[in-house]
Amino acid sequence: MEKDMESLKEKFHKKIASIKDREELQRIRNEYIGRKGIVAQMLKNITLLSSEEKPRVGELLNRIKRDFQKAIAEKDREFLTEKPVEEKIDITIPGKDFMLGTIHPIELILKATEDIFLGMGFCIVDGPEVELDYYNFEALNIPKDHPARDDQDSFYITPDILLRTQTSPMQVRIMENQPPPVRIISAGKCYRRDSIDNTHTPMFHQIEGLAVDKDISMADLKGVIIEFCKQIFGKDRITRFRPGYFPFVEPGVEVDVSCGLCKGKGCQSCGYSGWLEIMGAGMVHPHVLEMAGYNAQKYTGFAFGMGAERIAMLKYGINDIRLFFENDLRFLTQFK
Amino acid sequence: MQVSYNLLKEYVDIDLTPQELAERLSMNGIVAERIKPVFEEVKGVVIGKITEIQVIGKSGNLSLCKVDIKSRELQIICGAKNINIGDFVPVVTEGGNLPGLGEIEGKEIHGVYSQGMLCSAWELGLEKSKSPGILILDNNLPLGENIENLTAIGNDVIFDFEIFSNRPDLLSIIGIAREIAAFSCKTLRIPEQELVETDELITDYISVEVEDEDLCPRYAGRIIKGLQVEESPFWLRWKLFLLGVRPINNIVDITNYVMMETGQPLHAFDLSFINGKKIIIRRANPREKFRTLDGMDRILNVDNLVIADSERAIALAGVMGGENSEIKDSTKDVFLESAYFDPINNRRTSSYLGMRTDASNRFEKGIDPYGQVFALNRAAYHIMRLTEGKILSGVIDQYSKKLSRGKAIKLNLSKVAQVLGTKVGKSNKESKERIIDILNRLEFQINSQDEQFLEITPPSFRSDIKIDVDIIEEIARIFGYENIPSTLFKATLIQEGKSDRQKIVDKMRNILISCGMHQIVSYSMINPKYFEWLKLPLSHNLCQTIKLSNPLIQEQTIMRTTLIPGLLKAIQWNVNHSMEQIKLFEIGRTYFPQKDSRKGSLPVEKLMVSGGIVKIGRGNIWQKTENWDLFYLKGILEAFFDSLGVHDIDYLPGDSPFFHPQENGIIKIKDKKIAIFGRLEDDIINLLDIPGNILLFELDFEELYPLIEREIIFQPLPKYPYIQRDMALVIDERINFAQIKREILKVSQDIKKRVELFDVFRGKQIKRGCKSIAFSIFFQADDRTLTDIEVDKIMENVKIRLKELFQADLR
Ligand SMILES: [Zn+2]
Repeated sequence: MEKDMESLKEKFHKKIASIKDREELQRIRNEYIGRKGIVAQMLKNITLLSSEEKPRVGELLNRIKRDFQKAIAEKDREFLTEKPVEEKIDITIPGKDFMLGTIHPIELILKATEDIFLGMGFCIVDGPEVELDYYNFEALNIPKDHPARDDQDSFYITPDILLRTQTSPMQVRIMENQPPPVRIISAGKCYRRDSIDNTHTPMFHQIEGLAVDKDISMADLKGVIIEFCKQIFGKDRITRFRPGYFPFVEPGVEVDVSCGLCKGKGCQSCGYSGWLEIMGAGMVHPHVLEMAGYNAQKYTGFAFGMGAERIAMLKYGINDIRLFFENDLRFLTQFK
Repeated sequence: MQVSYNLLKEYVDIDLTPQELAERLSMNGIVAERIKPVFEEVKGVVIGKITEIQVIGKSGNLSLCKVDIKSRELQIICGAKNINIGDFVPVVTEGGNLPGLGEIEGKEIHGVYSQGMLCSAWELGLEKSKSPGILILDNNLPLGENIENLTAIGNDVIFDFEIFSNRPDLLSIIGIAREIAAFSCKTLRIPEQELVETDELITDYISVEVEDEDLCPRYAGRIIKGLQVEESPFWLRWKLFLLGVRPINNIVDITNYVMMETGQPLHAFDLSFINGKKIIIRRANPREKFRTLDGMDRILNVDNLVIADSERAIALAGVMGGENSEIKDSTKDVFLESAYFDPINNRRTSSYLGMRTDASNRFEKGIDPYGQVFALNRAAYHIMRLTEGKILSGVIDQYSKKLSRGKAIKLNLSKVAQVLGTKVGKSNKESKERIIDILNRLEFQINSQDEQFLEITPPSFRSDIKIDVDIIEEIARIFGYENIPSTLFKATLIQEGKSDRQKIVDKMRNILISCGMHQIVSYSMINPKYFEWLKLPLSHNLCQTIKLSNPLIQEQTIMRTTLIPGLLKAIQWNVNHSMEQIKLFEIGRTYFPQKDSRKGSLPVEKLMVSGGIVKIGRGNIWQKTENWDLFYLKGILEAFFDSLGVHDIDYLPGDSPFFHPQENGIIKIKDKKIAIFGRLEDDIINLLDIPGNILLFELDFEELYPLIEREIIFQPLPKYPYIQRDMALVIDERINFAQIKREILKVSQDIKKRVELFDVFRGKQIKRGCKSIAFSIFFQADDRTLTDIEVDKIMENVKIRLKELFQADLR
């Protein structure tokens, strides 16, 4: 029976190929797939087959039927549409639009950063953006009336509740809830009461890292940050560490990466220094460990924080921070 | 902190070039934000001597000066009033150059040709803001020489250092010189002065009473009598230019210079205006009125500390002096104050009054509580030298018993290695020697030592050093961060990495991107006007917002409860920039007031997923792009839920006030509302001035998250073919497709059925109030090939059911 089907197919396609008009096509349709056509007859004959063979042959016949239907429909369309005298395909004509979306560049930086630190055994945690003054400042060794508050003009909801100015409150929240060892990354929105210009927006994103254990040193901090910079900015960039001041770390560290444009020689974009500031870091201040309930005699740790916008601006060469929140498609679609 | 290279060299030998010095200091935590030659862009400026002054023009405002520049005599027209015959002045000659002014040309004024210009300090780039008057130079300078080439003044570089707020000791020349001395192993030169005192006793002229010792732990003073207030000599004015301080008169200049030199703010009172020979340091009275020397009236409160005489306040302690006792040209006798005020209270006062001064900036960060008398004597010495003034015998120095030198700190030497991750020397012994050397260079005192511990007292000017890690940072700074090795963690830590929730969020983002949507990030603070524009009644849940108590701009005063305003803003922006196909989404937080008012409870933050699409214009014929209508959006949502593993979704008519009444849907899963979708109302589209149909959705991730099925269970592929039947019904408008489908699926439940809509039609042929719906039904059994007869029978039952329930007419 299968052989019959093969020859049937062959015969059908030969006939179809030689058809001249629609009338002839109609005849063939009746002959093959009409209600009393050849295929219908064959389907009836299935009942004579064994029960194992029935489904397989049935499926084959149905497939043939669909194949015939398709061929007839296509042929019909040929009759109905004007055929150009000489059909030529211009391969240079653009394809049909198939638009994929894009990830926001800040998200790209957050994901890339998270991936790097996931690879180093960090886990990713989230925290509230509307935060208690206690976690945002006090538990980070920045009491009320501390001059460091000047650098972080805050949006307040109530005297005790504010929009977090940094992701560092997560350091304390995590340590309060989890015994050491700790190795976390926390990224998200932060807010400062800065007027909008090409380097400031009242909202921005920060990436925070914290590692606390029995034997963590500044050398570990250096190792982790150098690895991060290599992966984000490229292997040829040099990372530099120098003293910095943040009340919640001691010793404090500022991290620079060599300017990619001038290769460290100094140019306009790096302020002729050859270096670009990328993050603040340091060894977690014993007061912060203690406030979170850790034994500062036993444990040490490092922390670091950086602005995702700044990293994105340096990595992609973006010169205006406002572009991130205008959501202009001509901007967004460049990051693929 | 602005200071020049040559000024620093007066206090310490420097082997490095200015560039090298800046680089080295930055590695010690003192970053030069700006480095510039003292005469930047200055060319062709020579030293000239005024030999003749003749007033010209009718107004009398201009004078014609003859100026000797050694090689020749120039005639120059000048408008300044402070010049006299014999003065040495900077002259920019024709073809010379000044910063900001560019090349200077000669020009004719009132028929007289002026061969250049006499320069002010501002014109030479020495001051940041304009000041009247020509810069009068020292008469020892060589006539005719180019000013920028003079070794004494021209060959200098100005640094602007950024000083961390915990290092107020670096807000002084001596402080920075001390750092240079420490890292380069040089000796710091602190100037010494010999004071000559008269026989008159200071105590006969003044007594000091400190009412609040906590707010004023130390108060020192001296009196100088019979001085002359006048312009400072050139050398002093020049130093102030290098420090970025504007010269005023010799007395004020000296107090300013000594503050910049030592970090100790000083204040000079006109002694004749201190009533009752008495200085009282007290809290202000409630609502006490006081006029500061900038001429502003201030209303004080009891937390503000004032310096008073027997009758009234004469200074706002540590912030600014009073107009009633300031130094005037007529002043003959001064009382010089050198105090230590409580940092926190000082900071409160200056921020309460909105006054930040050079003095308050130093007091609030904490100055050296032992530096008062040194600075006082330094200033007295200069006044004595520059004026006829006589220093009265004795110095007033009242201090609280609580004022103590820094506490001794115990440093465990092995902790240094533990924190740094390295020893600072080859052996323990060498490390210890090196540590002691570093600390000595920073003027820390080693009280005692053994193999394991050092007991250290930090110098009094280092109020930032409180515990052992503070000392470890000092060691690391001088040792050099660059000399610390880099290692990776010794121990491995196995953790989950990303939480399930974070993974789902990542997945949602990827699905939406594959639907062609672009991710946006918009501000969390929004304009409350949006609620009005979106026709939301005030009682609506979305209008219950968290308000900023100190917003920055009107457009951002409340925290968003919906992402729709941000999407609309982004859509508007893109339409205004001629984008035609806009498909955006945001995954972001919204913020709702906290449910309980207990202390420490925070607002509720909910993650939302929202999207907006709009197509402007007719699109492109070649691309034959689809119409972006409500069902296009619904297609995206169906794909989204399907890919995410969310099933049994009901799409029901919604009631969002900002959507078109017909094209308005809500999405429910197991009777829980998780999303809304629809087409933005025409009024709102007009209001936003967007020429297109905006389709939006917003999904509450917190509701959706628990409903997501994580596990994929394989379904065996069907063994038997399906049979398809088509059906068209004319049915009442009020019956929706979901109802019809549900009823069809109820018939013969043992047979698998799939219902696929292929047409909906309304028109003349159809009865009013009805519609025609056409769909295919696919039948399939797991265990056999269905026969036509079986399927015909099921179809018959379907027809009967639909007819009975909905009065459907078969076509
Ligand atoms: Zn560069």
